[in-house]
Amino acid sequence: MGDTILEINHLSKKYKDVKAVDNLNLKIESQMVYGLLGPNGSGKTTTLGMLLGVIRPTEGDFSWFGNGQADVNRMKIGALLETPNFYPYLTAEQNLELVAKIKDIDLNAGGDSKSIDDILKLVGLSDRRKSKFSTYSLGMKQRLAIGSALLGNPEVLVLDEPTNGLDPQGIAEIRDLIIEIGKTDKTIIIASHILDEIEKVCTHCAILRKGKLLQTGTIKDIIGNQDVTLIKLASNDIDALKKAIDQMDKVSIYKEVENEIIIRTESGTKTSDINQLFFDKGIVLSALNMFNESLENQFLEIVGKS
Amino acid sequence: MMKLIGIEWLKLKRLTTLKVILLIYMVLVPTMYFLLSYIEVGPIRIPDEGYQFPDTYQLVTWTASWMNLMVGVIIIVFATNELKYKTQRQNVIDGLNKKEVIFSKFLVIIGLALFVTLYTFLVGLVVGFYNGIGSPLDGIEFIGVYFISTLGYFSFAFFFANLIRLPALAIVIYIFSTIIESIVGWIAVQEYVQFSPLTTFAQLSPFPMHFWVAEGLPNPLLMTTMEGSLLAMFYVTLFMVSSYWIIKRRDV
Repeated sequence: MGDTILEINHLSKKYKDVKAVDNLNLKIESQMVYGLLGPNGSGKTTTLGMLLGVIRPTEGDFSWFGNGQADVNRMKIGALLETPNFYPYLTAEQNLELVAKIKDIDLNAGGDSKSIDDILKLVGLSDRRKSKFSTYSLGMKQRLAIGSALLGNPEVLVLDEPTNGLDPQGIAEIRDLIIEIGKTDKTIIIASHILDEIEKVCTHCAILRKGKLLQTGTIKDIIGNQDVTLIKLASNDIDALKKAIDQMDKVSIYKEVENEIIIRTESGTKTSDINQLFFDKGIVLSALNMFNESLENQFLEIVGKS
Repeated sequence: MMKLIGIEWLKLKRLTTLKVILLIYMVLVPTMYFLLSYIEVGPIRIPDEGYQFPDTYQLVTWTASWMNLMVGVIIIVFATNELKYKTQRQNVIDGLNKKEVIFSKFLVIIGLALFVTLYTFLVGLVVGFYNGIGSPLDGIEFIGVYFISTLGYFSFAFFFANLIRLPALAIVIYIFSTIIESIVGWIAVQEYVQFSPLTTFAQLSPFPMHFWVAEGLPNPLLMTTMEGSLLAMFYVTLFMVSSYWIIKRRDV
């Protein structure tokens, strides 16, 4: 990690009486693969829209590359925001040519900068490079948008729901591509509501809900919280069971589901240890299972708690 | 500026609407101009002077100014496309600023006005030469004035496109307001209507009434051509600045 690529201070966007983004503070350093995670309507796209100069912030400010909000900053950013936006009557090649012109990309420069042909090959659109954008399927449009973001080898990539509309194979390809790029010296910012995606490709992550920042940190801190073991219990006398748990040191209630209780214990705890523990307290368990909380549920847990 | 021209040219050169409408304009202007000579309303018909210098320029620009409304539709389609396909938004994401977005469209408007004006000039020039009387430089000021009037219509169309954003509605309102204002302004040259933008543009290419009305009669127009041109330029600026203001305030 190194220089600060992006700094966001007290950024807010208000639509009438709805606060789409509420006092957001973030700092993103170079070479991070930063995930913005949140359910639909949590303000991810609005945040990126402000960072990309298309939505006017109500309050607060941000700075790219330590250079404030200057329009030229965006030429160094490859971005896909919300939907793939291209001229439907132009082909993939012509559309990319146009983007290159806007971004002052010299297509004949060689070096790290990929040519339009290379880009189209990379995102699997070589065969259709002469087809009009209007004839593309949703997945192809999305690929072209990702290709367009990669054009000119930008320092920073901003990808809003990059695997939206892709089939499983396409999703895997794009994720691998992002992981590959993340290994170079690029900085990547990804917004997604799919935790699995963030977990697979990101190094850092911020969780948003209703425009508010809930948590930030490395992926490991936030969702790699696997140093506890979860165990699901049930007993005929739930109240006695709860009471017993309250008295124990190394066990606490993680979640109650109908007539069952999920407890949190030190990692490596075996069900037999737990059975013994409760048996000693005179409680007979009617169910006792290891419980694997999916990452998705952990995420919902974080989002639901606040 | 060359960069912006290059960008807009890439967008325009494959736009079917542009090709079709310009083709229709290029066919209709000489055709209508030619057919006018056959129209007789009682004793009134276009005299031969209408096809000789200097009146050829005035008659051809008056004819063309009606077709010009149609060319304004290109601007509306082009501008609302950018909103509909969110490509204007993408242009900004890719690094253009909002001033460049407006300025590049202004360049398109100037380019289109230049093309239309030059073509109309050629039609007048060829017909004038064919009928062989007078100097081709006589009456050429009508061409310059026609350029300003064209700029006016196109910037008006652009302003409507940005204000209304829906292509169909913008086109309907544009055509109706233009035609109604032109007719009102032409039939009854009123004291105040003449200062309204569309009437100002329309009056820059007036029908050559002097074919029938003796020159001794008072000019029904209160504004001279020079004043009209200045007012038209003022409106062009107003529409472009207002369009910028709309885009600047809006989230694109």
